[in-house]
Amino acid sequence: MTALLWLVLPLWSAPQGGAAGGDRLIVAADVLHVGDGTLLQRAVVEIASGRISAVRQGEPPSGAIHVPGAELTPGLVDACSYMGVDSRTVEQSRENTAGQRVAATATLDSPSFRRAMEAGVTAAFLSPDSLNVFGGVGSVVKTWGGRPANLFAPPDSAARPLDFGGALKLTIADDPTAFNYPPRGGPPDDLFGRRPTTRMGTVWTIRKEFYRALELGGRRASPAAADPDLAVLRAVLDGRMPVRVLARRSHDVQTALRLAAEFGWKKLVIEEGTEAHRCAALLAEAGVPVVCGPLYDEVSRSIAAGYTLEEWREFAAPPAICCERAGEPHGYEDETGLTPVGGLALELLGLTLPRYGSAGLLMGRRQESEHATPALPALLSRAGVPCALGAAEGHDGPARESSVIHQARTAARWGVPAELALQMVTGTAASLCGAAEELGTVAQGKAADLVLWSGPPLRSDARPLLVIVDGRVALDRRPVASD
Amino acid sequence: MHPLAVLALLAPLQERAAFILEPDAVVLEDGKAQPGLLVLVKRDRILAVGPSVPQPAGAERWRLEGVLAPGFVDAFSSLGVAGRAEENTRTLTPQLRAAETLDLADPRWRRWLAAGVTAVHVVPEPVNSGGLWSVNVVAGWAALVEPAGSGAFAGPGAPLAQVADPLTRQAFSLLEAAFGGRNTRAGPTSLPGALELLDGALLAGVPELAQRGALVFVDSAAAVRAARSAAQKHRFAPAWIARGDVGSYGAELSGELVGLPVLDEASYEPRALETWRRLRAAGVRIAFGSHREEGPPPPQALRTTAMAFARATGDARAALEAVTANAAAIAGQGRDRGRIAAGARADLVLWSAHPLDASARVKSVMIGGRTVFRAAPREDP
Repeated sequence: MTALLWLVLPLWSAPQGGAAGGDRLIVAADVLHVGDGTLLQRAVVEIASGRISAVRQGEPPSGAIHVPGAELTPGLVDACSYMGVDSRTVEQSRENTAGQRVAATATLDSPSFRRAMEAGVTAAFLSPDSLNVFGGVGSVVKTWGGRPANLFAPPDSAARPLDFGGALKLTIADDPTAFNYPPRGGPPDDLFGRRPTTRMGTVWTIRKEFYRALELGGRRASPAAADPDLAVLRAVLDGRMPVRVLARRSHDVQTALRLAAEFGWKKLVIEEGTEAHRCAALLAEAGVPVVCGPLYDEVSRSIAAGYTLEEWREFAAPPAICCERAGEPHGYEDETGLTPVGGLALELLGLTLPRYGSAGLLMGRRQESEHATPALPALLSRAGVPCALGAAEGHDGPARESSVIHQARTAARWGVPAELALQMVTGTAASLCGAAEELGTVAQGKAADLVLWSGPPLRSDARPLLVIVDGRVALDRRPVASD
Repeated sequence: MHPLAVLALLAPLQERAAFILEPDAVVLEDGKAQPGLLVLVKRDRILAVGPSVPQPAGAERWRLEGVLAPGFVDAFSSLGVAGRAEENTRTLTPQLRAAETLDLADPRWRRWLAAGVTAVHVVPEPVNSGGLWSVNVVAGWAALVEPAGSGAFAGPGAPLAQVADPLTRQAFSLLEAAFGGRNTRAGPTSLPGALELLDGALLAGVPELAQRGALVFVDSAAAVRAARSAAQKHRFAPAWIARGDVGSYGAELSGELVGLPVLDEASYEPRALETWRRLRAAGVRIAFGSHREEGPPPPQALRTTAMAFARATGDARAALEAVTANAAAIAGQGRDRGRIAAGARADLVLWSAHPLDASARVKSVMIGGRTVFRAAPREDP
């Protein structure tokens, strides 16, 4: 028996899911936001092999990383993100592409991940694009630590998909019908001349595919096993995979609740939920949480406002890449691939071109955001609906004002209590992404993802001084005088 | 029988007897021109290379003034294609062959031969740009062409090239530029869709794929990863042709055999040379090919690209390998062509200096042991 223990123990102590060295780190902070709504004063966090090995209170030991006045939070979790995901990752020639995994085709070394990491986001749920009714399986990724395919990117700067936290994404909105057209008195010209073109058609597609999975899955040697799309639907019906529904209008949210009741989805999460506050009581009764889409103080900003002039200027004059001189640091190109323009053309483009990498998302947001309010998380949490916040495409441009911490600040400004707002981007966000055992709170045994802020994180002038992902320092901007 | 006819019949046989070449220097696999080496050639093969070689009875000894190098191999090309090598009406065309589209009387073959190219790997068109109805995920078989006739015919109507191997590798295309958005009316519109089609085609079976291998056109990291897992699942060996901005996904190709386009004004971008350096540092085996959408470049493109590569990376061996041995490996003939070694084909070019030397020019070209080109003698000043 003891011989078996000796065999088993080394396996248990092996680091999981991270390229962590055996390094030990100790981080001490005046205030630790645990991530579940509690605070610890004078906290000391010990890290070993990429995991948090101890959390205690006390004076900072010698050798610990300590910045006076700094506050420590878990790494922020972006519960709804489109980093590296655009319309090219979704196959539109049919409506049910549930078997396609977004982590297989997302651009994992997109500069968006680095921008997110520098803003304190250590993990994100990559949501498939909304152009198909069944978008595919989204997955949780760490924003740092993967080996980039880009030869010019800094090492470890790519995202790293994790093998837990997958969820099937459905879209009940205008997005999947955005380019479809009905038959016009002849055979269709292209693959967009087909159903669905209305909300009824969208929901019919969902029902049809789930009923097909039910019928085919019930037989022996079921075709559902061979068809990857139906295999995912079977996993949903068996309760092994959660469902995320992108629904903005309140009637779409209600439809999602009806479908969950009809098919017995074990775990349903509403994504974006722009009008979810109008049916908050139904959500609270059903126990369905909501990942709120990007919040803006100015409601019009949530609708495809386009890039600002400063962002266009930065696109037009990116940092110079000069490769002929040895030893110069190389920037790697922004994946938007824009052509530099100047002057009046710049301003006109800023007014007309959409921000989003997906035209479906653009049109859907534009048409369905009449009742958008930045008070959405406050209204939902007061009604008893668990909420998390997501930045969606907020990291795709150089301006950082849409990053997840700013979402938390906006939520706090509009009525969410401070600790609850921080919880919405850490602990609650991790649990809504299915990663509660690994991420979201600073507790022993969890992955060592920490962010040291220069002050209270919800203050608008607080910035990340230190970002640790899987026990390795990803960003170090501490002032030189200390430590 | 007329005595002259008898002599004409005998002449090709006499050419195939063994002979020993004694050039000023021979370029071996290390890329350096080594003096004092002899090359024994019999029929179409090199039998031995060394300071001394076996001397079979009746072998002639040819003293050559110049540097003997392996002939250049164009790793992927559209030379000699009449029209376009693509079938617009279907997405999966594994049974089609690029060899069927060749014009073997195209005068450009002769010019490329005169530039020192002894084998051209013609590939089917990977992007179905002319048609709006489908993309070419499985494009068909590539072919290896020698830019010299077989010698059986002579005179103005003789073909200037012959197909050495009509089935070299099956071409797969996972280029994002080929499918995306509304360019295609029947799908696929994205990489995952193209992968499903590829998976379906491979499940249905592509004859000879396992023996011969595939050539995959890629321009993104996701395409490389997906094609690699398809290759493991369906058990075939892929070679790669990297398009687009190779620097943005080159680390994914570490350790693989990759074809890159030759350097010209259209494809040059400020970090092209640095991308070459980094690919080499990442362990990528590079080969160069002249396939371009606007048609073949000038015949010297391979050599000038190799010279630019040597200058950019400081490695003449890798530069020469990129236009000889690695390119032959992409064409599925890595043991037979692209190197001067015992057992390889006698595809040799006699230069006036080392081929990567700017002053070098082709003096004569031998393909399969037969001299197919002699440059007009030039008086050096």
